[in-house]
Amino acid sequence: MIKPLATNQLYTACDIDQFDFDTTEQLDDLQTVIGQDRAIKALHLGVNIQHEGYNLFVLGPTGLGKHAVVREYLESQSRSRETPPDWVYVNNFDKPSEPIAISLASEHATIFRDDMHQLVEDLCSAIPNAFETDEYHLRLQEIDDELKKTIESAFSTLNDEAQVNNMRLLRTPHGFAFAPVKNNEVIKPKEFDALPEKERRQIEETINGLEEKLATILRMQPQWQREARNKIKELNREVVMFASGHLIDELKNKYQHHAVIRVYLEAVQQDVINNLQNFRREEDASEHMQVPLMKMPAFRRYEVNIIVDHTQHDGGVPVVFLDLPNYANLIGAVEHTVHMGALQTDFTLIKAGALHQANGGYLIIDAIKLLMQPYAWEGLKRALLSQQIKIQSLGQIYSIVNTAGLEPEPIPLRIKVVLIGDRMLYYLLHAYDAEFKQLFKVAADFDDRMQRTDESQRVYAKMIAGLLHRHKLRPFDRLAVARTIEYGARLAGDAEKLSINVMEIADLLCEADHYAGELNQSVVKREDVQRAIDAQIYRGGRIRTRLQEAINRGILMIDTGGAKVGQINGLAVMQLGDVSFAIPSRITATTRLGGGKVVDIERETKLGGAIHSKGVLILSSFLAERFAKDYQLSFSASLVFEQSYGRIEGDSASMAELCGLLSALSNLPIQQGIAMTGSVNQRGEAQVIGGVNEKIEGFFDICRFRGFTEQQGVLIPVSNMQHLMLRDDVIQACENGQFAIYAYSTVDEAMEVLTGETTARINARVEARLHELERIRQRMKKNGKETANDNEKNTD
Amino acid sequence: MKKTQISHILVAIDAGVASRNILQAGIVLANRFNARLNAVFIEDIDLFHVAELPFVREFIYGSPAGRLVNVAGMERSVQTQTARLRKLVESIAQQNKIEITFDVLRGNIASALCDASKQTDLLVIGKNTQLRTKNQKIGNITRFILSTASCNVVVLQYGNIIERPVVVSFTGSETSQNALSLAIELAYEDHNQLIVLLPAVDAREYQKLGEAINNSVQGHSLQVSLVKLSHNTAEQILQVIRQFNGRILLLEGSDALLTNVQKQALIAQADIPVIMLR
Repeated sequence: MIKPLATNQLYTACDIDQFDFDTTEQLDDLQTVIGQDRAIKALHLGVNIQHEGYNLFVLGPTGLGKHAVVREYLESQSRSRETPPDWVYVNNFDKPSEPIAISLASEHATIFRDDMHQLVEDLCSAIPNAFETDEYHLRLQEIDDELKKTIESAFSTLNDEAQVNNMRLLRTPHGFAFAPVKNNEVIKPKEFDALPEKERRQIEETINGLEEKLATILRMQPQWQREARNKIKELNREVVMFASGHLIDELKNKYQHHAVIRVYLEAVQQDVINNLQNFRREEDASEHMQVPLMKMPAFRRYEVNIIVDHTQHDGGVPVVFLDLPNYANLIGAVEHTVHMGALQTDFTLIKAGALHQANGGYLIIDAIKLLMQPYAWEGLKRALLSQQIKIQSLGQIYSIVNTAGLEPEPIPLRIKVVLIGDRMLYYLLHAYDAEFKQLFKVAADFDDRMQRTDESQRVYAKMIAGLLHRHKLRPFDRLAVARTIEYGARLAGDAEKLSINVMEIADLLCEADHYAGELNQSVVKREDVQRAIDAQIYRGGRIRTRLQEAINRGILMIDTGGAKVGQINGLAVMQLGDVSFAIPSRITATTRLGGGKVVDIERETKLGGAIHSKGVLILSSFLAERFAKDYQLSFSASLVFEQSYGRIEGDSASMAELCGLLSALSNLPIQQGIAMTGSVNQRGEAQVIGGVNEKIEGFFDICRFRGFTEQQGVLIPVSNMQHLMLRDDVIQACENGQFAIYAYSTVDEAMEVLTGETTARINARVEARLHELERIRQRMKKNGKETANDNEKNTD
Repeated sequence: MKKTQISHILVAIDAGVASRNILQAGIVLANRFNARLNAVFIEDIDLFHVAELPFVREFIYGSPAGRLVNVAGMERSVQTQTARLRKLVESIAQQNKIEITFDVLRGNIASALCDASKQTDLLVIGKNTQLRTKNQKIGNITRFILSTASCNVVVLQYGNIIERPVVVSFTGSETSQNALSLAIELAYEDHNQLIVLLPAVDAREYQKLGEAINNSVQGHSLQVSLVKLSHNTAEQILQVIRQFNGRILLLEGSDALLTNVQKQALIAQADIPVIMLR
């Protein structure tokens, strides 16, 4: 029979002799990330490879410090790179609904904006002055006089001709008419009627002729006026060119190597000419109203809307973390103002998104937040696939709104997007979104544990020192550090591993510091760390306590003493939030004459998961393999988790179920002071299970409450020995012989411990019982009776 | 010096855009002289005569195709015009808080205006240069009124307003005394400028005229500039007006300084209001 494990096998303590420091004050902060070599290499590849689609998805559980690591890494990489250009939007004078995007060298956007402000200010002064000159007024007067002269000349020529022909041009209420004149008086109708027919006809013909000429003049008049207006326009253009030309030329020279700005400045010049009334009128208003010039409606058109400005940037490329990755924050938006109840917008209301801000650098986004924002994920993919940022409202994209909006010129996108999320999200996206694979080719997989060696423990100590420093906590002495490392191993659920869940470690450090503070200690000690661990367990132990209470009061029936046939204590782990614990669960097995089927009641009631059912089927196969190679199994059995009302999953109780079944078949009682865990394969070998520490401690707590009998303990698979990091009180009880941990390799070793019998005797009793059942079955068959369970074979 | 009395001003208005401008000038003058203001519109009798001729067509701006006219249509148009002018007068009176009476007469415009102005001290008319022959400097109606009206006449070009400095001609005649008196009244306000044009005369006469002017302006806070013309021509007067940036010209109606033709030429070319005194 196997022996209980020695106490040194139950806990792998951290050897403090390996530390060459008294407190963490003597340790340097860790400059590198520990345990994430794979992820860092992936980051390095993703950041440095300059091909399309090499964006990154950083995956791993919460608490590993992914954000901090990624940000620190990207910031370190960003400093050595050339700062990307600034971007501005300016008015498109030809198509105001399609603002023009201009890129400028880094930190030049504000300079360009200030230049434009200065230009408008100068124009507001220069243009009115130019129009106030005598020369301008003289030329304007000349044009006016010329028009007047042209019209007057046409009318006076016509009037002359009318006078020669004894006619007069009269002004009527709406225009003009000709009247025959005699003795300088308009002929009265009666006089006209008295004239000879010939003379009357001649007057009529003369008037008709004059009327045609009058019609020609009237037809020409709008054209003359138009010509005059054009001359005034040309004059104004000349004056504006004179007043503004040198100002705009100065800017053109300044931006001579920037073709887009030069073209824009030419458009500005043309627009100033076309809208010079703004400059002639608004200057005074601006002074009186104290409104900034560029805020006035007439001059907003010359504003420079800075979209990306690297003035405040320390150099290098930007590293942007987008906390709220909704569509507008990501892609940018065109805002609106309400004017007289109507929504209005223009290029000055274009707002940059995070893609703009991070363009040329790195954008970090929480994947889950991104996916939870409507259309944000689609927007990001569209931008990455097209490699440009095109600001469109959702209304435009989905044709919800048909009103005319702005369509700003797209801005080329060169960016590395780093999504941070958990593994499940990564694998779901990978499986179900074809574009995801195309766009996020690099996965930086953050590990949540690292190998536990002397070397790694020393590094871990430095990490602890770094966290203490970052959180401004008291220094830890060597013992406190060692206890924290042991806690890290327990978090990892493995004596040979260390958890690198920075958040959980940091939480422990903070809490231990708090308890040390309560005692006015300047250094945190092992006891403070232990107190913090105990407090964590206590805080999260409400449900566990209730369940243990139910067991102790006999509400949940668990025996911790005596022996019973077909009954065994399994161990189930419960995970509630960030707390996991185990409680024992009674498993019972019954057997009867039948066709060889093991009924898993959990499965039948649909409370058992697939893995659990698999475990039960495996144990059935084991029985057939071992005991019924040459004949048919003539029994039926039922297995059940007593008082279990929830779903059962996993195969960690399959060994216990098998032992319960063997007990029932052999009619050998099982010691109820022993609980067991482990899964079984078809050969009866024990396989590793999870949560071994919690399971042992769960049963230990029940036994301790009821009082140790020195016959109590837990059976665990041998392969779980490496995971043991048990509580001090468990180890102490084992040390005192009050409790025992057995590591078994096969069902036979387990059965020996559970029944106190040898394997040979157990197997013999099982075989005898199976043969007995087979004989009964044969006899009944001979008598023409079939057991109900025989039919099971046919129906299964 | 005898003060020129302006107690009744008549403003001639028509359907043209200048009417509002003429009314405003009339208001300024009425306020200045504390005079009663009356607006008059003459319905041109010749229009009704023409309307009876079956072949005469009316040509309107923007529509060069003429339309035949008739008496009823003309009557309607003229009445509409009259109503509109009445409204205009009322609204301007209300805006300026002044009483303006409005009369409508029918007849030959020039004659009717001359008749209507007999009981007034000052007739304000617009200068229509469009319907004139090549040989004429100003329109028929303006010319007729200037030569016939018995009262003082103000001729305004479209856009003119009554402002200062004032330019006045002074030959020593009684009319020019009146002109000077009126000019002083128009110019009077603290240290305002008055430009007095003196004809081309010898030194003795010049001195005499100067003394007369000094006597007239005595007691008024005016900056008086005496300008002696080298030639009594419209061109030289216009030159002086431009030189001193004169904004209104007062001219005696007699031939003492300029002939009628010269006066017409001056009025035609002057882009400021001209007051012709009788």
